[in-house]
Order: sequence, then structure tokens, then C-alpha cells
Amino acid sequence: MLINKNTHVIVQGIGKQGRFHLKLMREYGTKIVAAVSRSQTGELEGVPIYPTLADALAKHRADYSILFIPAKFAKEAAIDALEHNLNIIIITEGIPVLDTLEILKLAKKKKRTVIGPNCPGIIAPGKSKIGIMPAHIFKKGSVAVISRSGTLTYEIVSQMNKAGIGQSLVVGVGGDQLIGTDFVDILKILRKDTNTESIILLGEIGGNLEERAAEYIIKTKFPKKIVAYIAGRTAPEGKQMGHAGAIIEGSAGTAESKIKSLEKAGIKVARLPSEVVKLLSI
Amino acid sequence: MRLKEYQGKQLFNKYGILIPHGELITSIKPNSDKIAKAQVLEGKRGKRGLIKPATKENLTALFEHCKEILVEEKLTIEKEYYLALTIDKTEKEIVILFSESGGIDVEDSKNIQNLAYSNINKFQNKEIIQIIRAMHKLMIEYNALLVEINPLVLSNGKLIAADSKIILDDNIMHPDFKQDKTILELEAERSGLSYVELDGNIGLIGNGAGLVMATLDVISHFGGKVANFLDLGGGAAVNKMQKALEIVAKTKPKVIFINIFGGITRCDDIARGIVNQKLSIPLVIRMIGTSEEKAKEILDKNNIKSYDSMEDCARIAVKDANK
Repeated sequence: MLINKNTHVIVQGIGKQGRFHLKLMREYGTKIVAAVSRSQTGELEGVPIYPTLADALAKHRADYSILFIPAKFAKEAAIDALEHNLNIIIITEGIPVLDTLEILKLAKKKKRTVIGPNCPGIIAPGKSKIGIMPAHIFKKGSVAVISRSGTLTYEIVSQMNKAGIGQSLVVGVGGDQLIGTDFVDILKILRKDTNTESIILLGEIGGNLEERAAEYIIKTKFPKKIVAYIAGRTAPEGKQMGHAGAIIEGSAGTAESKIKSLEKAGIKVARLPSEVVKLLSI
Repeated sequence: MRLKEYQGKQLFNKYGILIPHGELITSIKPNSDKIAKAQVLEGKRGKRGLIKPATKENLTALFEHCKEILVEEKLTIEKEYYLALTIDKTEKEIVILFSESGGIDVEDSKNIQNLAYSNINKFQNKEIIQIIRAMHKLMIEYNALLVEINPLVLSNGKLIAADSKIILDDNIMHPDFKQDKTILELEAERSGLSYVELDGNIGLIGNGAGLVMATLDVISHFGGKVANFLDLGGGAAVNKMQKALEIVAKTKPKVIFINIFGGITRCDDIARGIVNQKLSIPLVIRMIGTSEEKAKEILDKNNIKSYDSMEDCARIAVKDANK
């Protein structure tokens, strides 16, 4: 699994958002071992603050770093974390794509996991949360959710809860054009995860993550039930719909192309958000 | 942001890539033996009849489709190549796309070679290598996500970029290039709102791109037409919500659907924004998540109703819009 109760986490960047979510993650039970800040010292919610990542790692072991660093400085911070062999979760929105490319190249070389950029993070309900999602809507269970969007995930999760269905793992892979971990990477983990019985895939227009997931599902005869929903069926061509990655260019990236690919892989695709939970129980 | 052909060619020229002799015109000129190319962003211009001999008659027709026309010399064509640099999102590296047969529709062709930029020296032709290096420099310095020449033409022994397609990263400001955005879209951008004008009569405001897109789909599903896409983004505060309402109201929709799932965004902030920005347009509000109770209190005091289910709200909004 990606994360568990013993996953040690560092928070890079404790501005307004970083501080707020450090507190919430700790309340959820996530093992936050240190925070890194250039301008602040002392402690935050009982977590020691260090001026550099190297200083923090001299005192603490860590698996993941979560970045709340402004877009302009995010590359430097991410590269620093990867150089220290940490896996990273990048919450920041608006990082230049070529900066992300440099981050992901290094991650590939270092064999580290990068979630994001522009993502809500990961939560394994009842175990750990490295992200910004509202914890109270999640409940432990056996359905995993992989999504390109934060609030759409919350929407579906709250409907799951109403139907009494809990989650094993929820990953927001991010809304940018270029992201680290994608649908296929998470599916590879989930296929072997004994806590996960079935999977919800929440896609949207733009890019080809959904098509590649469908290929992988067919090629490897994926053994678990998957249902999907694709947002943006009625989005116009050539317009960027909020997420940097959500844009239709010609016939590429349309919801229709994604739905067709997924259905070819035997996946039921919901036409409305409220159908997702229904399809899961069929 | 996608550049127009002439803007891309200006960049090619700057980086030493040869381009045809040409002139950008904004009004009709006398007949010539040159080629007139409408400066629009849609692809397949040749097929759509947007590239024609530069006769006065053709120019007149083309100006009905666009404001700018690039008038260029005709090239003698010995060979056409396809050449592009882009980012391979799976391999996480810059790649060179190359084909011996350039021209229209090459995107659909299967015989495009795909080579990591680091393997540039596998090309035999020194001139092509030089062009690729120039394209790479342009890509890095201008934060481009795609630099494409289709076709790259061999003409009288010289390689000339007969067309250009460049997409720049919107995460970086590009003050040199004007964007095709409406006044309201620019106003929203300045306020940090993600806004796209559409042509229906139901205004839409929500938080999070995926949720707003899903809402758009749900409204269409129930037979409604949305006037706009507006994503408040994460953690929107009272004034941002007010600004969003102000912008959406300007297109005079029959009803505004507000769909909020509070996470980082607090419902009470949204509720205050709604109450402060007094509008005569009916609102249909769906609001759950962080600080939901406080929000309901604020709305109740002002006799504004809110709902829990987005699909129920969509039905109501569609009904109101069709009244």
C-alpha cells in the first residue's frame, strides 16, 4: 500500500494552508514528524520546525513529504525532497509544466513516488491522511477511489457513505497536464491490495489517463471490479475547464473517447454522479 | 495558450528557423500570386477552405472568418517533413516527433517516429538537427508545451517552416501575446476565478473543476443549458464569491445554480458572499461540507433556501430556466 499508520510525514511550507492542514492531518492521526520553513522556528502543534529538509532528516526518519510551497518555489523544494529520497505529494496549483517535468525526471531516476501537482493528496481512512481532504466524510471500507479532481471525489465519497460503502484508499492524482503517479500506477498497487475489493475511477476531459488505464485493464485482465465516471461530457472544445489538464484538443481528450475506451475494457461508466454508487452495487 | 501561425513564425524567425517571406494584413489588398492564410486557431485550415490564393475575392471571403490574414510567397516544394517537440507524459521527457511525409492530416498517420530529445544525434541530417536544437531552445525559453512545424518544407535546397503550431504553458504569463478571451473571462482571470462563457441561460458557480464540470453535465442531462463554467477554486472567501456572482449575473441568466462541496472552502464564507451580493436573479443553492450548519443559519436568516443534493438542484434550476 502507498501509506499506512506508520507512514512518517514531513510538511514542507507552513504558510496559511500548510499550518492549517498540518493541524488537521495530525488530528486525523497522521504521523507528522517535522515541518520545514525558512521563516518560522520552534514548534507548530507540537511538531518541530526546521530551517531545511536536511536538518529535519538529521533528526527524523520520513517516508513522504507534503508540499504547500508556492508555485514559483515548488520545483526547488520538490527536488530537495527527492534528493533526500522522500516520496512527495504536491498540493500546489500552477507549477510551470517544465518545472514539473524536471521534478518527475528526477523522481524516475530516484524511483520515488510523486503524487500531483495540483492534487488533494491521499487518504487511507482510519489509517493516515496526507492531503487536504475533509476527513469527516471518509469511512473505512473496501472500495478504492482514484480521481483527477478534489471536490468531485468528495461528492462521490459522500454518496458512498450514504449507501454505507466505505473506502480502502482514496488518491487524488491531480488536475495538471503533467502529473507524477497516474491511474495505471495506482491500479498496479490496488490489484494486489487485499483491503481493496473494487475501484471507482473518476476521470475528466483532457489528456489520456483514462484511455491508458483502459488499455492496462484489458492487457493485464485486471481482476477487480471497476466503475467510472467522466466529468466534462458537455464541455466545449478548446476551452480550459478550470484544471490545466481539462481541455479538449480536436478529437483528443473528449469524454466520449474516454467512455468508449473504458467500456471496451468492460468498465461500467456512470452517466450521472448519483449512478456511480448504484453501478458499484450491481 | 495556443499561438496563431504568424506569432509562432515570429518566434521561429527569432530562433533562426527559416520561414517564408510574408506579411500580416488586416484589410483587403489587391490581387497577388501569393497565398492567403486565415489566422485562426482551428486546425485543418486547408480542408476548411481557410488557405487560398491571395486574390481580392478570396481575401474578402477570408476576412469574414478572421481579422488577420498572413499573405506569403508560394514555396516550390521538393519534400515535406513533419517535425515537433513535445512532452511525453508517460515517459516524462521531451520527445522529438518526426515523419518523412509531412503535410495535412499527419496527426492521424501512424508513421511518426518518436525519439527522446536526448537521442537527437541519431538524426543524420545536420540541418534538421540544427532546427530541432532551435525548437528546443524556444520551448525552454518560452515555456512551450508543443512546438510543431507541419510541414517543414525542402525548397530550393533549404528547409523552411511553412506552418507553425506552438502551445505555451498557461502557468506562466506571456505578455507578448494577446489571448482570445472575452471581457468577462479576463475580468474573472484577474480575480483568480476560472471562468468560461457558454451560451445557455443557467448561471453556474461551484468549487473545484471536476465538480463544476460534473454539474454542467448533470444540468445538460436534465435538459438545461448552462451560461457559463465558473470554478471558484479552493478556499474561496466571501469577496471572491461576491465577485463570482457579479460576473455571472452580467450575462443575465434566468437562474444561478451554486454548487459547493466545502473542503478547504468554507460554506459559511460562501453564504456570506451570497447574502452580501444582492441579486434579483433567482438562486438555486446546493451547499454541504465544511461549516454547512453555519451557512444554513446565515441563509435562513435571509430567507434563502439551500439543498443537499446536486441532482435535485439541477432539476429545479432547469425548471426555473424554462419558465
